[in-house]
Amino acid sequence: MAIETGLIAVGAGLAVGLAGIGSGLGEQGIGAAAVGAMAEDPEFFGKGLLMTVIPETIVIFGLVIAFLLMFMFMGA
Amino acid sequence: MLKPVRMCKVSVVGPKKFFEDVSDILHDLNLIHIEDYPEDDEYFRIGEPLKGAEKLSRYLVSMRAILSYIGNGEYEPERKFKTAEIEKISDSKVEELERIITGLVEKIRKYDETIRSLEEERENLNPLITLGLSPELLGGYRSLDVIIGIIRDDPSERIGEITDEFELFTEEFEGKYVMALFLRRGLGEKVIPVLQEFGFNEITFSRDIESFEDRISEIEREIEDLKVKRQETKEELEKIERENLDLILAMEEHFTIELEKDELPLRSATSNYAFVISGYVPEDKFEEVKRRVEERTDGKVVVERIEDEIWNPPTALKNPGPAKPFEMITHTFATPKYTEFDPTLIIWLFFPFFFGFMLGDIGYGISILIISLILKRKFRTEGWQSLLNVMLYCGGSTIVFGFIYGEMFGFELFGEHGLFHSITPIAPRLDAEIAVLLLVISIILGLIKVYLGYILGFIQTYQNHGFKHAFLEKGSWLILLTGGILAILAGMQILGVWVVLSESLLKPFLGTGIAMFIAGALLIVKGEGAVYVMEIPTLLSNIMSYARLLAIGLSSVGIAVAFNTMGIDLFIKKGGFLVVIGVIILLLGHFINLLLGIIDPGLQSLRLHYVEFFTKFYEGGGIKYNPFGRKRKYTEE
Repeated sequence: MAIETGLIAVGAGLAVGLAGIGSGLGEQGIGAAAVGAMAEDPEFFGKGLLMTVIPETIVIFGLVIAFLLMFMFMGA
Repeated sequence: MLKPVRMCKVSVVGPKKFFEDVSDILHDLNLIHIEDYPEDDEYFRIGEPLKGAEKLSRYLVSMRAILSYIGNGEYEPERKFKTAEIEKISDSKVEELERIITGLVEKIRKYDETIRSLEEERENLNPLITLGLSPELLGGYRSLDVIIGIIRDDPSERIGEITDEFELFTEEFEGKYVMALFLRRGLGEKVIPVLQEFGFNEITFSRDIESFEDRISEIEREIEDLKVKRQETKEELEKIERENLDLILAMEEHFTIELEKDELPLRSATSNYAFVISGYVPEDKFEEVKRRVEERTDGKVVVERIEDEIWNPPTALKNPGPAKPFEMITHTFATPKYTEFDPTLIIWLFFPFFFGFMLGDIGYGISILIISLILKRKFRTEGWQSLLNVMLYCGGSTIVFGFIYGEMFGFELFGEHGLFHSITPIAPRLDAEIAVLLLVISIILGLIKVYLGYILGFIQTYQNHGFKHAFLEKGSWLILLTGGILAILAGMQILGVWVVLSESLLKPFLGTGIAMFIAGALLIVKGEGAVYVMEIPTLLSNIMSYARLLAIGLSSVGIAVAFNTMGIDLFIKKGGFLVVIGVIILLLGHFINLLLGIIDPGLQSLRLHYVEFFTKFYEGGGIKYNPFGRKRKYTEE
């Protein structure tokens, strides 16, 4: 296996992993606040979930980048 | 379809003496959603509760107090009581049950208290046994003070600073010391502050005790005794509860219903001789309400459709039976406004589909079906039933996708490496090319959902606010989105990433795409304001977000494959004792993955609806249709 292939794989891993950490950091505050709001008013669940998962899109971007790296530049 | 039940506003007007009849019949019909009278008029006032209300609420409090002791959870009644029967026995039964049950509960509480105080005494006596002095030596002197207690450290030096007329006995006890201090009478008060520096804790005991050991065994006997009595009382209480639970629940229900009827005047407008109840009734039920009320009161009470400037109709969702369980998902987000689309049907189509698309495994699908069916027999509340029905749909769809992917518990079922070599799976997603294809399908599904959202939004705004608003607010996004797609298609071809268009179409696509994108953006600025330009990238992220359909699935297969490799290659193939460990790893691993496999695709599928879809057209904030009336569970008329 060529070293480039390995580096691409590492890059793909980093793209998902770092994006995941970023999403997590973003969600922790929102999640805590959403749980607090839900304790006051259980009807907040839907909106709370919506707010909490907004940063999650970042990890999906990371995933798409990882896919592009893996399948387009590695020649599958 | 897609719209809540049409409502009409009605007023029920009549002379006050028919109020009871009207309240009765309306409660039975369980159709009218009453609008509370706000009392903003000088002539009409909020009515007074009917005469039975006071007694009923007192009874109801008793019944609920009893039920709170029992804490019955869910319960299927063995027999239903007739309301007439309850009426007859309620006066005597309520008091009797209350007397017996509160009596027994009080008795149990007393036993508990005595047991606790005895246990405390025993705790106190234990250190004194360690001390080894008999009770008669520890008090009753004319010229001596005796101080007994627990202490952290030896205090003799500090006591010596005050007096030398003392005698101190100490023994180690559970990491501290138990001490008995004998001093000249009157010195005790001076010494105690010193002792407190050493964390002194006094022990007192009854002077009648002759031997600590005897007393402790006596206490233990008494505690045993009390525990038996407590258990007997508890069993008696449980027996009475079991025998009367049907009746208690029936009475609670009956009183609740009667009280609701008697308190209806609090929600309606009354003058000296007449009353007005206003509320909303489903349009197709109006005739029935009118007929039933007027029949019962000989036409003295009039039910009429009214056009009022106050128009806040409640939302009653109307969906075909199979889609009903999914109303729960809609309500969890928010109840739709009366004028809004009810997205339940669309959720019904897409939610299980997405779930299956992600999980897609025959084994897990069957497991979900079995678990749901078992739980369905256990949990009978409406909420659980809806949830479990949703799970049944999801399980079914997971099995279907399991066949498409050819997977069972992470093993490849069909194809080269699989169990059935001759069958080629439709889309083995562990294959890199198929994975890319599924990614593209995911994104296309995303596009469809986003388009659908904006189209629904367009129709809704058009119906409520006219074409201009619809075009500027939702049409603009549609134009921008279409333009964006055309431009990206052409752009990808120019970059050589993905070739789909013929050469002659390339330039027109690019040109129209960019033009539509800019036009859309301008319309958005005009329709929704310049700030919304910032929302444009969100559109891209919304569509990309559907990539999770593939991603979640692959991660789930990944975990399953990992456990399979671990269990089989590392253990089972080695044979012998290791087989057992391998099987345990497989069972545990798939159990964990199944749990993740239910929670994660469920939440992600939910989120794809709430975040990426609802935001395009759905606000919610409607009033849930809550008709005056109640379904009887423990009683019958």
